[in-house]
Amino acid sequence: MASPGTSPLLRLGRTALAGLLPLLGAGCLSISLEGGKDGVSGTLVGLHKLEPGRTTLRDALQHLGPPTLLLRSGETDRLYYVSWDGLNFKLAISAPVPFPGRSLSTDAFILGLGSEELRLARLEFDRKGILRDLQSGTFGSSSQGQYFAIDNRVVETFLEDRARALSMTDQDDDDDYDLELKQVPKK
Amino acid sequence: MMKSIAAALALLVLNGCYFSRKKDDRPWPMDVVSKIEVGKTTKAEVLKLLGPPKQIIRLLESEAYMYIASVEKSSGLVLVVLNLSRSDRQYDAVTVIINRQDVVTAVGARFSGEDAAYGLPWD
Repeated sequence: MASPGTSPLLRLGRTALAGLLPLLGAGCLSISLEGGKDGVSGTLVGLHKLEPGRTTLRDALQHLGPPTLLLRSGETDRLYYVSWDGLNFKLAISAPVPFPGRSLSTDAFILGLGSEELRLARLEFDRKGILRDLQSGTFGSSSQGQYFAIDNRVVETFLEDRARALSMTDQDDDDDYDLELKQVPKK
Repeated sequence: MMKSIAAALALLVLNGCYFSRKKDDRPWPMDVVSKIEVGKTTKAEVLKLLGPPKQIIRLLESEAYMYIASVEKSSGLVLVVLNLSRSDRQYDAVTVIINRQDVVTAVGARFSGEDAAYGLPWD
């Protein structure tokens, strides 16, 4: 029902304008909400079954399943179990930059908010395959990406070990290649 | 008339809707993995059952064969200025520890690749 003094044409115009506003803003306004998940969060539930000094590598694999990362570190074999999930919100307003012949824009305002959660467990086994050290925790992060854990050395060590494991894989490939070269019979 | 408007609106909304599924490597049947017995199965048998591993890691007194197959499901909705997206990556993985005598000493398996799910960002 039309309010007094409002013509149907004017109402139609208002409705059309309301519908067009988002389209008009499409080029310079964006709102995004991104969620992500990696790995099974329930893996660490079995941690309470492990006991340093008694648990073997075989027990650990049986209770927790395959680790996310496995590597040799000094006189220990180190296993990591990791799962992650996060939610990020971003609001960006960009403005067009007048430049003849080109389409350019610049971000005038960006608001980014987010939360991430990393669940991590580190298990260290000795040469005999006996669990010597066990550390675990849930680490939250701010939107700046800085982990504010009680002891974030665990996270830092994990990141270092992961980088090392990747380089070790490359190194191993080289070793294999060298081995293959040595096995070629001399003519 | 109303049906046409609803259909047009649905087309407009779903125009920016996507679903994707990415699989990395093939998963291994659970019954094949259950054939691996600690203390009995040899390295050659593991290779015959599961094929070449994705990674071989040298440990202090053994080596680990890592078999990993991931499934990632992503979905999104783009509504003119509002973008909603979510991705979920899960793994089927098998780790086999083999000693210097080429015998399996430990095995761990998880099959959660099919648990990857489509959903909303906050799920």
